[in-house]
Amino acid sequence: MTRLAHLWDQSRCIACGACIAACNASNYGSSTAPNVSWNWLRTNIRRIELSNGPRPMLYLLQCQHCENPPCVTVCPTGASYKDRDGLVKMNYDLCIGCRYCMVACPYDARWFNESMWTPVKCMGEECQARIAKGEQPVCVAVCPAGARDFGDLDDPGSSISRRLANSRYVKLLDNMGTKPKYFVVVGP
Amino acid sequence: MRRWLALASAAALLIAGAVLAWIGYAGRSAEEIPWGLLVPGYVFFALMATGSSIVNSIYTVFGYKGPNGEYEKIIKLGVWFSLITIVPAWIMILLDLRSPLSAINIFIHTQGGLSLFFQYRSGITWMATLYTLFALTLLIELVYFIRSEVSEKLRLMKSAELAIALAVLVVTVVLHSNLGQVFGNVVAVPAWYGPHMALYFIASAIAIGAAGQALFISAFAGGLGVREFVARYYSRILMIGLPVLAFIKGWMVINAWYNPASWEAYSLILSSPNFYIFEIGLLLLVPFLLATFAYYKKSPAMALLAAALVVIAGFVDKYDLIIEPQKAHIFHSLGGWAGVGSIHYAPTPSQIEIAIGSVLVYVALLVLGVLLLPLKPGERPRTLFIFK
Amino acid sequence: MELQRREFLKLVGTAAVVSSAFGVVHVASASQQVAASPSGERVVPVMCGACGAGCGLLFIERGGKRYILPNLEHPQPGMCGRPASALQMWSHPLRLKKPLKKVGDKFIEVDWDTALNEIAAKLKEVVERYGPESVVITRHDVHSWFLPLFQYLIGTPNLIGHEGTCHSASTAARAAVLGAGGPPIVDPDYENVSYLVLVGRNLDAAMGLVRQLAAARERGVKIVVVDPRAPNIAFGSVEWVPIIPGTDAAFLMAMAYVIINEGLYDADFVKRYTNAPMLVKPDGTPLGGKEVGVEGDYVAWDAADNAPAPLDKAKDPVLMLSEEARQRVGGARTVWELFVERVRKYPPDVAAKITGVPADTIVRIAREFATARGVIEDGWYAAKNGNEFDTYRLVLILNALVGNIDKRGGLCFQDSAGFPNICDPAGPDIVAVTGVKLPAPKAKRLDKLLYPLNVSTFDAVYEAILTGQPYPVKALFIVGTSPLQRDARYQMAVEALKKLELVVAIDIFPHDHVDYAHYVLPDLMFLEREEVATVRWTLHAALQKSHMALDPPPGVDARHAPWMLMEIVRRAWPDRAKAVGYDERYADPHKFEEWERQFVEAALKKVADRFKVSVDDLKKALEEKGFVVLKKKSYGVRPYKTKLGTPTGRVEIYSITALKNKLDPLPDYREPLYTRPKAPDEFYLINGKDNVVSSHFAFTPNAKYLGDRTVWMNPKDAERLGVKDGDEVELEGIDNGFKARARVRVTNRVREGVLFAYAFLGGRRSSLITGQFAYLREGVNPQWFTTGKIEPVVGSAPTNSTVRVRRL
Repeated sequence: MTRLAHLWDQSRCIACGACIAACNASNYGSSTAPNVSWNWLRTNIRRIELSNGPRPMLYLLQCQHCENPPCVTVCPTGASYKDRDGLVKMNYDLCIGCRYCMVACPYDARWFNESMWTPVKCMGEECQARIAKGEQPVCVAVCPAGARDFGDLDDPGSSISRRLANSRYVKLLDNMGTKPKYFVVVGP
Repeated sequence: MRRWLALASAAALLIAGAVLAWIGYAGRSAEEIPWGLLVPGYVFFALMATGSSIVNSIYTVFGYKGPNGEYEKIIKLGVWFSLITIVPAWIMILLDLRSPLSAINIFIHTQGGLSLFFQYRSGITWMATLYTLFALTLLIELVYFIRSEVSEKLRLMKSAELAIALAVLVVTVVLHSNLGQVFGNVVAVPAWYGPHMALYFIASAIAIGAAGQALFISAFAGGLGVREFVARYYSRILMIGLPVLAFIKGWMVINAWYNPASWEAYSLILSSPNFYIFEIGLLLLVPFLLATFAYYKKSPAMALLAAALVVIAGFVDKYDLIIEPQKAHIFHSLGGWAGVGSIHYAPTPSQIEIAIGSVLVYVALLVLGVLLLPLKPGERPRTLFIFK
Repeated sequence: MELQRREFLKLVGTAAVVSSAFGVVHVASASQQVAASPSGERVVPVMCGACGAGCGLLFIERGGKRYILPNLEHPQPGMCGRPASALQMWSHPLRLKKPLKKVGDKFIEVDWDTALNEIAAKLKEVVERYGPESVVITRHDVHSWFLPLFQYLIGTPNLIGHEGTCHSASTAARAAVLGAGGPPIVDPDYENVSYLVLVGRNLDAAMGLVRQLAAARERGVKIVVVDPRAPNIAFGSVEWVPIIPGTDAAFLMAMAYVIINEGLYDADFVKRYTNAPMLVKPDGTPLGGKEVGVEGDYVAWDAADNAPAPLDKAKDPVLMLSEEARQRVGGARTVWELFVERVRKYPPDVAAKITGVPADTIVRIAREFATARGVIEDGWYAAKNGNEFDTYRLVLILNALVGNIDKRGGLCFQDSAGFPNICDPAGPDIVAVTGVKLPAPKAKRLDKLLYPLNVSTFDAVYEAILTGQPYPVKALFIVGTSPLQRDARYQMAVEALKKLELVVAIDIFPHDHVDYAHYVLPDLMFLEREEVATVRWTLHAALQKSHMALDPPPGVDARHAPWMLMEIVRRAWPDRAKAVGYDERYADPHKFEEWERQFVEAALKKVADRFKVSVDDLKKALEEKGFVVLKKKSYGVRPYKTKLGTPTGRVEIYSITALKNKLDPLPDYREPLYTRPKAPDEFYLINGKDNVVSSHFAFTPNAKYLGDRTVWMNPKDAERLGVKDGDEVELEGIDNGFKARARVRVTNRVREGVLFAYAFLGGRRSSLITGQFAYLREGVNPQWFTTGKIEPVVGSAPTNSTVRVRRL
């Protein structure tokens, strides 16, 4: 089986915004229109700064490509589906724009593209094209701080598997039963 | 002459509503929360439709005719009301989709050849299915009652009448409880998650449906000689329904307190004066008192006032219940202690246009139905099978 | 490009500079470089211009999509959010599109010929009336290679850049202590570092360095960030030390105290490679060899002979003199004794009171740093408090104390690619790289007259404009830099700009200064031009070539700045232009590259000769891969095999350069050049950048979300003042009374008593900013509140200030 997953290393991330802006450039044509859902730019990655605690902390959030994705369960047309490679994808021809998936996602990983009138999320078209060619998604390709990885969890030799074996990580909102495949590394 | 004037006015209203809704549709934009005004708007009318249908079931299934058989006089109006009230709900929800026709994708996929599809796990799939069944069964029931005026054979098919009525009842009960669980099955929004939404929606539906139907029927109550019946019957439903609603809502609030994520949403609701004015005052307290008064004093005016308040406040209640938890959901995505941003939502002009347009179309259709269909006692279908 | 290892070793063996190199010229795999294929995919190597660091990027175009990726083979690969937004910069609605001329108080569009002719005529007139030195050219990093040619064709000494509010102080420190130059010349060997301390350096650039550091972090290397606010790098696993602004020197002094007190320093290195053993007379000047009967200008006490010896010849130099020895050298003291005496003023508990950093934190970091033989980064942007010359001297000295200079994992010297300047002074002339001679300017450079150890101090130009001293300045070319965003004393700068007779702004976006220009000329952005340059932020000797990826978008008639400037010279003085082979042929901008090429090729020839490689191979590598590594870094060269460029040839703890310029030869902790806050509603207002801030990137819609135009305030201060997140406050500069409003962001990213605002981002004022970009006016420009006092001799203008906060 193939289970593609993302890794983000919170202990190494330098908040440079390369992944956020590169997703906007490659998947959304460097669109300058606002992302109203997130009060953000049109990208699949959102940045959450925790600035009230004793020290600053950061989360980068995107689709978790859950193994038990609530967005797939609630989709009435099958537009939101889980692909054989483990990624949760969108078939925009089938999407009717009901936004049930946006409501059902506990991570708020989807934003609304009003020109298509459909929710969108990681992975964008260009990243999917890159993966098909054996390249890394754009966010991983641009990261200068070594804070990202991507690959097949079912391949013990893949770089993500090896990195997880050497890291301490958490998964977000584990109690929601989504079985997310976005690993937040907190240290070695 | 007056009838032509009425028909022309209704037609004009219909066109005006359609145009307004279309203008709204053309000017749509994205909002900070996924489900804006049109969703509580749709829910409201869906509840009114199904709720009034349950109220009708008290006669059609359980045989209560009223102290002087009044229900027989108003049943066709009641069924027409239930049937047409679903229309504004459909308009609002279809105009909120990518395109109104795209909804066909729920059942039929046209890519790579024609194929049937049914995502049984999606609440919206069931909503689409149930609405179809609702419309179908109600249409059959309406046609049955209309044709019964002229067909002795039909009038005698009591078992068929009961079967149809039962089908309607079953469909409506499943429909509005499923509607509740469209929200109640969403684990991601703790304020919604749980079986209580089905119960709350049934109770709301009965209250709002009774209230809406009361307002509609009262327009004809004088002419039909059922004023006292209207005053007492609908008031009694409210006298029972509103405390049930309060009971369920009360436990929802208490239950939410125990889950900080749910409480985040309920705090937003409870911290607004709207809650106390509308959800408590004008939805529960005042209408209950008015309905009680109307029942014992046999006052149609009081009954109608109670109904009007329930209709208005019932919408506000649904609006708050659907909108606020979406704002809080975004707060709590990663830990409320983080104080992650604040969400603002106010209905946009385009959403308001679609909503008002839908209501105009609704009123126009209600009136057209009364003008074109033999809904009053003694009226018979003369043209085209069912028309006057 | 392939060079056989054997051949290369042969070449290197005959090279003058390095003896122990064994590097191989880097050969990139072909996998990333795909020439335009039938599917329409393009991969173009580009040098990033979204900030000044110049990281290696690839412009990708495939399937109709355009985006930027890092060039992973490049010695300094990118990238951050700034180039990722490059396409937004490229097609930005506010991009300068056509030449503009100021008429009255409005701009009108004019054609290129009109603009260039008028500028040339005015320039000629100004030069005739006031002399060539009345013309000043200012720049940042872009076009900095070409500009000296323009400068010397006019005959002015005044090509004065931005460094006075950037790295003038840290570079002066590098010069004084290590005899080295600008920020990349000396840098930590990030990849191999064992412990890294960043003092006021946030590594928001270059990403190539961040990549190297990432490799070190894989090994578990600790990073300490000493900064009053938490820069973006502090989100991860680093130790953030929130220090009171302007007190870095006290922190460093206390570190030295601990290291010396606990004997954690590398005594051997200190004795052999620093001037610690040097003898200093009671008057502060070095004891001369003649005075004690030995050779040389500098003397140490040699324990081997129990006698004074030349500093470089002492076999066993002592750090502390015995009383007997002291009498024999007339009461002189060693530099070490003087330094220790200085350091004794700052034990950790004293430093704790000054810096706001707990004493045990200082002690712990000092011990960790010394034990690990770590590196304290030597500083880039240093124009903060007006006391940075001392701060960064201390940084360098601390690195020397642990002996970690030019070693693997230490503070290293960059191997120079030797890319020649376009022209250099040689005797009475200026000689261009093509060999052409130009007359050297007669007048002296304005700012050097006042600040001999600086890199640039543009403040001196404003003074000259306003006072006519030391001589009048009447014309200004502003090329790819934003003076009003970068220079201190904004109001004075505006006054000065208004007094000039000719201001020409060459840029891509409407920065504030554009409003005061007589002519505005739209430049190309980095995706639209070709350029050969040194790879700046790598310790290897490397060159890069940025290729043209795109034409300007339709409607943008931007042209290459060097072409504009040569056209101006040609139209003003055709004979001078002809002298460098530039004539009316090149009035067609598309032909310009033929002329420009000769300079680049001459420069490449010099590099090829220096490294004994073929020019064609060099050009081929630059063409195909976008870079060439000429030589990998050799460790252990300076000061071990080659002396440093200091008077003693050693690391100068006691700076003779400083002494000669009447500055304290030893560093100390000094007060900042602005009034400190005293009242509860007074705050330090500090500024800085992050990897989401640059002057150009500020305009992009992405920057609206990735950067912010708020003023950051600590939650405790906010609570104290009754200020909530998002509230508007009024700031009043207590030194100049300037008032401005801004929104507050309550965040734990800044320490108590301090406010932070991004530089170059907020408070934009150009009238050309319209419509949906009105939000660029929000926030404050920190330069509005600055005092404009300049650190003496090194010419660094502090950009921090103190403000009073009033809730609105």
